[in-house]
Amino acid sequence: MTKAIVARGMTKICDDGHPAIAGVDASFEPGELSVVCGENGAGKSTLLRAITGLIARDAGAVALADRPRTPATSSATEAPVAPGAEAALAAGLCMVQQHLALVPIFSAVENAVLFARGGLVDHAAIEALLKATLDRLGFVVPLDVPVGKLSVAERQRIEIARAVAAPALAGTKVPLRLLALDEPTAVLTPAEADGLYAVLRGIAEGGTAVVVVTHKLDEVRKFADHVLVLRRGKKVHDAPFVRADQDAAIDQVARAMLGDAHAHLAHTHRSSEQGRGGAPAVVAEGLALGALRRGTFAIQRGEVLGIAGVEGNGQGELVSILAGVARGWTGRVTPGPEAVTAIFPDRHAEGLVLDATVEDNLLLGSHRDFSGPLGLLDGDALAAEALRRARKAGAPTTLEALASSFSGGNQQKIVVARALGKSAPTVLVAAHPTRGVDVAAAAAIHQELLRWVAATPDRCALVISADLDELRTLSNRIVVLAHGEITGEFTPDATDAELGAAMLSVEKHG
Amino acid sequence: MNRRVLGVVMALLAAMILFECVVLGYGESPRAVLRMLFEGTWGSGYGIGQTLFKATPLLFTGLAVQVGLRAGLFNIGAEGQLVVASFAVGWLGTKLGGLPAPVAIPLLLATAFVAGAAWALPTAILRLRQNVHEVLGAILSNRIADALVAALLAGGAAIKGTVHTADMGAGCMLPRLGAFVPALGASAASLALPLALVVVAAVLPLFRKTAIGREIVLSGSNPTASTAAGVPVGLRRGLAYVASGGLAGLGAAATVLGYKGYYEQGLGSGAGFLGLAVALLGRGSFFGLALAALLFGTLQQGGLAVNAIVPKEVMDVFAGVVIVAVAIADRWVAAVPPVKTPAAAQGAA
Repeated sequence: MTKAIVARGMTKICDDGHPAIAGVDASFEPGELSVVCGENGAGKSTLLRAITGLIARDAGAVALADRPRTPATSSATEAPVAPGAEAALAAGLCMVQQHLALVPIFSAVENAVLFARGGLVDHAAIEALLKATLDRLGFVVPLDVPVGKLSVAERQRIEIARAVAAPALAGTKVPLRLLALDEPTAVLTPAEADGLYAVLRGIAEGGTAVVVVTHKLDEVRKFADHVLVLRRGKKVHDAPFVRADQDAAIDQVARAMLGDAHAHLAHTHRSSEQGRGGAPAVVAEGLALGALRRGTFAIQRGEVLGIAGVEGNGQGELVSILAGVARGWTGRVTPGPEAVTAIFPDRHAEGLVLDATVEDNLLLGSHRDFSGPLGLLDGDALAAEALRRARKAGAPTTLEALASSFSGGNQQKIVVARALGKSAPTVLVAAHPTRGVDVAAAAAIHQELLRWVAATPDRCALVISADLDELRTLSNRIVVLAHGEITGEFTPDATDAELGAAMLSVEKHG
Repeated sequence: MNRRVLGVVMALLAAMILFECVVLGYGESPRAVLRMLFEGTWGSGYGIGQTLFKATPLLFTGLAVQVGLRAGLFNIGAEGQLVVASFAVGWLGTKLGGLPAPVAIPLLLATAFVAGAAWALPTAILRLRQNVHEVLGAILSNRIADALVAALLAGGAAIKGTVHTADMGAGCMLPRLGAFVPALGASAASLALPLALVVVAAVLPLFRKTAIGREIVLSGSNPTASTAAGVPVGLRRGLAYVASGGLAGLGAAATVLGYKGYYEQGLGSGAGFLGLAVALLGRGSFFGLALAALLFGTLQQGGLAVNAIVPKEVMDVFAGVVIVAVAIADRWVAAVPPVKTPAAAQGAA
């Protein structure tokens, strides 16, 4: 019989002494799809990393148990799992991290080889194993291309297949008992996310306990068998999701996530009023670079233009051109990069200097504005400006802490705080502005973003997101980018189906 | 911070043990060698002066390497930058016969800085424009520096039949410290030492206190994010690397201006590479750099002192072991989890 995974008293203390998770008990049953929810920094990733041995835990134990659902004490029939990633892997516990851990210059097969153990590597056998796993999961990805050239969704498929095949790659006979995924849908379109959950369901039915970290209550509603909610490192909710009474169940989860401050966070659509008239604030004609083939659009003053599309259809290139960091592109765009402030899609690569302080990250690129006599910086003015930016976007205000010490969501808030904190630019280019951010904080970021646009009459924004609800919330107008071209224009009340069709239709012809 | 200091102390202890093993291997008493080492360095006024003299160029080159590291660049070219700067200073000094010291010395120091910086410039351009790794560029520049200076010396810059330039003018020499502190005797320690300390103390805070300094550190740490935020990354890192070359060049103040009074082939050689070790050990703080320079200065001077009973290269072995041990201690310190306060542990339970 396949065993459940039981974790007791899981505790991890951060370097600064506060507990990321404190005494969390959890159990995951084979065949079930569990969802772990919570605000940014609640300890969701930490819990799963501690269980799968990716980080060292400070207290707590993990065991394989026959008996179902969280027995309070361990029993003789349990098999303890030693700390460390090797032991976890040997017990069949694997995790797909939020920031995918693939070597970009290696192909999918070469990345899988990294998981193999033993002195000699049987390349052909590994390729066959990976291929079989991908086939079983219904994934189609090229195996001989460096993964750095693939889209984020494709890379994620490779990583999932690699995790599923990990016990076999390592040469153990154990089945995959636990597959944990940290915010796997953050970078996916709704259709891709649905597809992913169908695959995960299949994996669960094979006898694996599947655990997904997510912020999206919609995914809880549609897919969860069991919900675990963490708040500030403690477990506040641990129950099966009762689909018979969905609304009450979702409400319960939301309350648990947000605590007493639970507010009704309904999605409101913006009207499709066409900006403030006059000459357009942004005119782009025939922008081309890499996957972007013909970027032609205009944004009116006061307007927020949303760009929907499957990742890898030119969005990244569009951001780098507008922000002035791309080279070798063609086409024309006004205004130039000096008028643009940008939130880049990958916060670790382009957003943050991880081993610098929060203050330096909030002010990156603006330090020169604070040079006093003799070129010396005015420390008080720097701190004041950093605090102002942080407070506006709800970013961390511990200015001397390193950016790397924060959870993904809080890091994203630092990136947003910097972009929105600049007052000189008139164009905001925001790629996935709330990626990995919890519901309450996302709402705050949305509000701040719209406030920034409305602050002066000549401002406008371009928002790129995989989250169609986010686009509907922010945009006056939504265009679809598919195969490097603008292929459709919609009002914010367009349905998922309408947008989805436009996002995918061109791919077939392309 | 304390854990880092602990790591360095452990590394020094480990190196000490190995050093004693090597000495035993020569059939000598470690005790006698250590006594000799001490007497030749910190045991007399002259020894102290010579140790300080050996440490002075290391302060400059250690700082130079540190400046490069802040920009994410490894300046292994300090050696060549120092060679070129030393030659330039020695050659110019022969032309400045009549100039008084207050004019000649600033001029020569500026020359040393500019020459070192100029020698670093091609490597910086190759790195930041063509993406040729700076270590490759620097190793090539080091070889070219040696060859070029040898060619210039042979081509007429040296006194015929020798490998050194003529004596510089009287106003070109930096006064010896012995003139102010008689206890140091006739040792070669000069005003270059206080100059080095002032330069280190002045340069290190710039990374925090100036906008360009902060941008250099941020650019070195994540060039992509810094570029995306509008920082001119290439200019900032290039500036840091070129300034690093200039600072390495200032090492000539200790050897040419403070000691010989002319340039001789091989003068100050090794100081550039030891600068890497000083920066590694010094951890970017003023006291760290000063102590590391003193340590390696002691080892260099001590090598000469113990040469009578064990080869002076034994001290090079010791220096090498220190560097490796520090690198290992670094990993070890990083792997030890931080000490948790009882309060935090209680809150977790």
